[in-house]
Amino acid sequence: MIGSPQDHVDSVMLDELKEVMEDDFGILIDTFLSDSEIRLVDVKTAYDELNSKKLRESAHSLKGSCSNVGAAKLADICKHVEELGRVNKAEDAGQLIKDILSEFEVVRVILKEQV
Amino acid sequence: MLVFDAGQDPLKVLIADDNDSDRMILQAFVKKQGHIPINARDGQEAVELFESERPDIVLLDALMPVMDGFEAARVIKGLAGENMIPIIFLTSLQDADSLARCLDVGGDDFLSKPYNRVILQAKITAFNRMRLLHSTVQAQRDQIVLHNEQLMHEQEVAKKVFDNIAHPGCLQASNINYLVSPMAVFNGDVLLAARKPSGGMLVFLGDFTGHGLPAAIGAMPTSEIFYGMALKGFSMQDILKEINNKLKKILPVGVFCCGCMVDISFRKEIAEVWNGGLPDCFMYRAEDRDSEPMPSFHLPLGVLGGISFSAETHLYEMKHGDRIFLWSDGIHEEMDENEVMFGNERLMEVFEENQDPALVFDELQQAVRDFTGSTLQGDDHSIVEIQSVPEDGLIENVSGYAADYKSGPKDWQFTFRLGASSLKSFNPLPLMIHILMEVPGLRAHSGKIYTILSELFNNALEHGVMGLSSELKSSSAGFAEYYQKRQDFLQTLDDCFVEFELDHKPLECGGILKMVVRDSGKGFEYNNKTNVKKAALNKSETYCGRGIPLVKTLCRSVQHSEGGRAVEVVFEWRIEG
Amino acid sequence: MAIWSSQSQDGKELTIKIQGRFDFSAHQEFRDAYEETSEPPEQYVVDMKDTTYLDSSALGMLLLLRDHAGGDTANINIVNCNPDVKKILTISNFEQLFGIN
Repeated sequence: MIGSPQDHVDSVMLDELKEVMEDDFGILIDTFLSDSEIRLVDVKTAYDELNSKKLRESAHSLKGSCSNVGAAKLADICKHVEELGRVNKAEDAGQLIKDILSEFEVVRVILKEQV
Repeated sequence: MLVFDAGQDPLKVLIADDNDSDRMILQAFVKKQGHIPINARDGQEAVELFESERPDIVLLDALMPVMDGFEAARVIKGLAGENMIPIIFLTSLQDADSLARCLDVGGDDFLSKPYNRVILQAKITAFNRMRLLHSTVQAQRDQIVLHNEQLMHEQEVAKKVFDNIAHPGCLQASNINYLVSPMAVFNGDVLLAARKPSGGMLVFLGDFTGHGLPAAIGAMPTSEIFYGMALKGFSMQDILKEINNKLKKILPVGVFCCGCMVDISFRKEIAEVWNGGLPDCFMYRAEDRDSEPMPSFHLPLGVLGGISFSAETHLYEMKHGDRIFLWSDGIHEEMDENEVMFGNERLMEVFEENQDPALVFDELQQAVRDFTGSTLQGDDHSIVEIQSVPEDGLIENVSGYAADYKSGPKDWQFTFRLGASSLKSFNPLPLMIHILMEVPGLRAHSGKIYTILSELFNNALEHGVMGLSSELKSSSAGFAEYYQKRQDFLQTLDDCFVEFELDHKPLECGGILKMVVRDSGKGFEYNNKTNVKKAALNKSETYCGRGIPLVKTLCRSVQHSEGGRAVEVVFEWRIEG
Repeated sequence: MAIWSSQSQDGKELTIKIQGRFDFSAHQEFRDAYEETSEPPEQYVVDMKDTTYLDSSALGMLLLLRDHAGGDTANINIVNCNPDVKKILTISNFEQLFGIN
């Protein structure tokens, strides 16, 4: 783990979600994690195929849900990938995708701790 | 009526997002605010749920599988029709083009990711307020449309009722020219014309204050009284009093009727005029093309009640060929492009420049057209021209009464004697005509009977009881003097009478009506054998002006007796048609 | 069109001034001018110095004022009429109901 949890997930946002979701907070986290795993596969596949359009769309979608659970850093990396897709440079996304995968693991641990 | 209440009733909020966790979050936000979330995973599902659930507000993710948010928004707006369904786009798109596209397809606002609960709830509240305002406006608009339709319908019905009551009477007569809007009743103008049983003509032009139904309402009783009383032979003073009292009673303060009534006797070639509140009307004489104003001497009708009302009329000589012009103030108030009014002076110029009286009606309209630069629509004003003509030239319009010859009094007789105080203020003719018209089939002869009775009654009263000489009436000045004397005499009457003795016997197809009129006067020299027509032509003292030649033409016999204090006429009639 | 009203210090006289065209649009304002007095005045003055025109609904409004002021016992003077305004009042013979000069 690099740095404190606060660098990866916005704790204020998480607290608010806990308050609003009440008993469903655990389900939300589980849903987010399983959903994101599918989207991660989409992102990786798009890169493997060097499909810029698909890369842009899948990164955009992942970015949205990450931001909603407070995973700001992960959302930020997704945004860069989305941008590469937009300018048709899927081939340049290799390092960023590795970053996404490792950041996702960090987020997963932090979120799991919250439940 | 809708109660304007934002944030009380729970709203149905449709949430369309393909991302499960995002949708869960929105759903929780919406629930927390007390509203009911409806979930859709894509645009297609959103459209289907919109149709089945009819949500109040729609939250749409822009990018979704199957059908994206743009397409879904377009379809939903189409389905919503004129109802306001706010659509808030959920998006993390940032570029201006994408955001503009959201609005193009019918989106009302955006909510960006990450979702902020406070902002979303504020937006829902704000849009709900707008939605309620919209439906309030919509409901009011619908109400206005409905009211307007109702009003139009009511006006149509009112117009039909009005047309039945305020029928044109004898406005189609050849001696009348008029210009009046077909919907004049709703700008408060009323034009009525009736032949009198005596053969004369009564015309009334009225202009009620205001517009629309309130102005039309007063026109109804006015017409009803006018036609009802004119038919029975009431004098114009009686008719005016009755109309005034009725209007005073039914109209609110501040609503009244400016009007002018004219009673033309074609035979006597005089016009009796009452003007209350209309601009100067004109008598236009054919002989010297002189126009004499007939100004308003009275308050409008419906302002003062009871005895304060003055039905005093003015008499004008009106030879055959002379014309009377009546108008509401609309023609004076026609404006040119600089909002200068046409006015009375320009109106008088038309008369001054006229060469042929038959054209003046058209010239008046032309003058206004030239002045305003537009066509005289007849929407805001009424003009009527009445020409004096020989009575024979006018087609009798006393007809069309559904006659029932079977029931009613056929054999009867009565005596009706009026003393001094009755003679001062009471006109017995309408009452007697009313009774006579009960005789089955006699109504068709009401004009002749009225003429006979009225001639005999006037002779008995004016020459018999009052002893006035009809010589006076042969000059214009004497004419006025005569009527002034008659008026003065009437007030001093004492210990006198006029008596009617009426006797009716039925015949196979008609009847015989014997009428005796007796008075308390001095009587006069008569000779039943004199050729009455010749005597009249010679202006012999005994018969002159007594209307006897006319009566003679209408009756089987005319006999004077009792020293000239009684006259007996026999009127034989047959059922017509 | 504008309407002003002022009540004399002793409250006995109410003056109503009408500027411009006096027609139906003045309806409410004219009514307010005489209905919103602190105490009922004994006499009324309608000042038409700046009145350019009046129509029949204005005549109706004057009758409403007369009714408000006691009908037949009302004491109302219409003053400073220009010739056009005077003419309209004369045609309707309003001098029988109001003091006009």
